[in-house]
Amino acid sequence: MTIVQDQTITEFVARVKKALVGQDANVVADLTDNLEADLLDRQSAEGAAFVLGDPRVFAAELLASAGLSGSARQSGPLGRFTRSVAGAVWRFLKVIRPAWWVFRGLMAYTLIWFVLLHQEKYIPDNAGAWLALMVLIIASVQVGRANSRKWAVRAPLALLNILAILVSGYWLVGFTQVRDNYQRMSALFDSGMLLQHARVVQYAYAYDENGKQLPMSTIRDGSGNIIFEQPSAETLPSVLSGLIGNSLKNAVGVLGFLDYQNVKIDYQTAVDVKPGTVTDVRLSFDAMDVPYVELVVAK
Amino acid sequence: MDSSQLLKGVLDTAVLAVLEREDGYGYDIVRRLREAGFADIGDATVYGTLRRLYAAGFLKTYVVPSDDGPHRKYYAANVQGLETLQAQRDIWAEFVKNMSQVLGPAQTPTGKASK
Repeated sequence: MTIVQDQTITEFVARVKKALVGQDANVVADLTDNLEADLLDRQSAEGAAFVLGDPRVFAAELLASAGLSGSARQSGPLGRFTRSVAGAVWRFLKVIRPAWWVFRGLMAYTLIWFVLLHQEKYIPDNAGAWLALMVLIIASVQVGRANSRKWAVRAPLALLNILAILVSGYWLVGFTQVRDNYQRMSALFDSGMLLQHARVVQYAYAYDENGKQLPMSTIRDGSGNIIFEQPSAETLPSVLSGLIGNSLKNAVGVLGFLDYQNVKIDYQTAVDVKPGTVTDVRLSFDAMDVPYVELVVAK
Repeated sequence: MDSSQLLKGVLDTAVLAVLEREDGYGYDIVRRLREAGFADIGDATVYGTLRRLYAAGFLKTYVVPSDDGPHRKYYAANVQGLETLQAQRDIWAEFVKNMSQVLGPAQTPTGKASK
């Protein structure tokens, strides 16, 4: 016996059945059992004029004429648009699946190397680590390519996928730290202040060869330009005076960036100033002659 | 007037009448209805109607093996279906007579048909 089949018709019938989901199985069978053969007949009879139309409309017509309650899964323009967008997103996700497989391998490496073995480096720094990363990525890709339908494979794989997403949080934290460090360094360089080991030199002391402290007010470079000016209550660094008018939160953030560890906040009543606004900045010295920043904040 | 709306009201009768002459499978019945003049009738409409008539007990089915595809499910009108068809024929004849009277030439006040 030769079975005549047409892929388009087979798919159309499958979609009609899908649109009838929710109906009694016997009803669906009654309505669609011979549908493929009937459509093949119609195709043969109509030739080039043969058109299948929308399977959801077809299913709705079947139900309506069969006098059955409920409706085939149809929707308005919004529903069709939503399905269309969802379909496009799904197709896109399917295309980039290989990227996810590689990413999952990297996350597996992160889980083992970074989380479980408490290694400090995100990126492998030796041959063994590189080898482990490569093996995990290849394994992840191979599992993805196998695309097994077995639940025994899919269930643990789903768990691993969730784990990979969770582990990616470590990378996010790492990226956030890198970004914060970059911003901090930018702020330090932009401040024009003297830096030593990426920290602001807030106060400098000069000593002679006998260890005797000398008066010192400025440090100049070879061209005579001032690169450091000893701060005093009178010569406030411009970056600090710039804090006036800012909110306390912003001011503390800037001071944190600039490594000012000693900050004192003095709340004072101010007229026509929004509470929490910095109204004055002072540089003071404690009993040990260590400078600290005093922020006067409107209460 | 859209004849497809009229057909919906009498499709059961039309399908029973087609099957009274000869048993048929889904598309075969669609084709015969189209050849009878109902060119725009949708196949889904006919398939749904067949299922409804079968569920109502007016049709019986049997399967015929096919050499070039799946087995065919043939429909045939049973006794109840044929009785229903006869009753609908009477109703239809009465309906047509009444409608013809209503739709006949308009009468003039003198009782003569106007041109």
